[in-house]
Amino acid sequence: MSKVTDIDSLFVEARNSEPYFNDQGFVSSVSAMLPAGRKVSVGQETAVTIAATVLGSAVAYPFFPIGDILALIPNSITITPIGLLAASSLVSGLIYWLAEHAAPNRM
Amino acid sequence: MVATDQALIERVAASHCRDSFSILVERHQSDLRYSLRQMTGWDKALADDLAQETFIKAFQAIGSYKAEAKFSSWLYRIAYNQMISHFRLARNREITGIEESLINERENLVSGEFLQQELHQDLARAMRQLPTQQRMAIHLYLHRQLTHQEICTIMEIPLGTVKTCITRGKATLRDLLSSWKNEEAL
Repeated sequence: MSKVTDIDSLFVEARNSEPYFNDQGFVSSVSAMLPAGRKVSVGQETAVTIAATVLGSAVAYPFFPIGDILALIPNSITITPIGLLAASSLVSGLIYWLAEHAAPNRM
Repeated sequence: MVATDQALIERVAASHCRDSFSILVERHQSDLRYSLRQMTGWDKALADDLAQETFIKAFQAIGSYKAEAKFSSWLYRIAYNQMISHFRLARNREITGIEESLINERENLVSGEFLQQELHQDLARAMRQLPTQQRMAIHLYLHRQLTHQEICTIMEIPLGTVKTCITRGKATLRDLLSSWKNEEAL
């Protein structure tokens, strides 16, 4: 008999004598650990949310002072020297902050 | 009429039907638990834990299952990933655990059962000496009789790597299991 182990034959033997493992509570333990399923699908949930939003907006619309809010929006902007100075200070500060934080780490 | 795996999978994917999934678990649990015992040096507890985690992951990801592959191949893929993660996280604990469990199991078996399980356990113990990738490739190829291509898909590695894993794994196993031939010759 050859002294070289025939691995293929060993695996054939193992395959032919593979034991069948009885459930012995395995299936029930897996079932108990399964996450709770969604009651409704993602699509259904989204549809319900959109429908509720549209309905709520429709109900609220007649009571919402939309004209008053629109009247608050200015229809012209006046630039004063002080305002211009404040705006340019703000923009400069922002550029400086960005330049500082975007710089690569130095050793 | 017995529902096919595909019909059950569709039911689980559509409505998260636990009963359908339980049938799938019942059908595939023995094969998967045996394979995982082979992968973990016949550590029953670890293999069952990994099998349990595999089925839970499968349930959560059932929507991503593509019917092009067999359900069992998909399960092996999940199981392989679970196994890799487990070994990465708990390598030391897992090695000592295996040795202890093998000793305890051998002590608890009566002689007849021992002889029946000897080949499976020795094979598992020898397989444990191989790198995880070789172990899985060898098991899927020689025991589960999957093709190289199927193994590529399961393990997500190139065809050449699969073939190398199998060749190298077989050479190592030949040395590790030489006692089996010698015992037979006596």
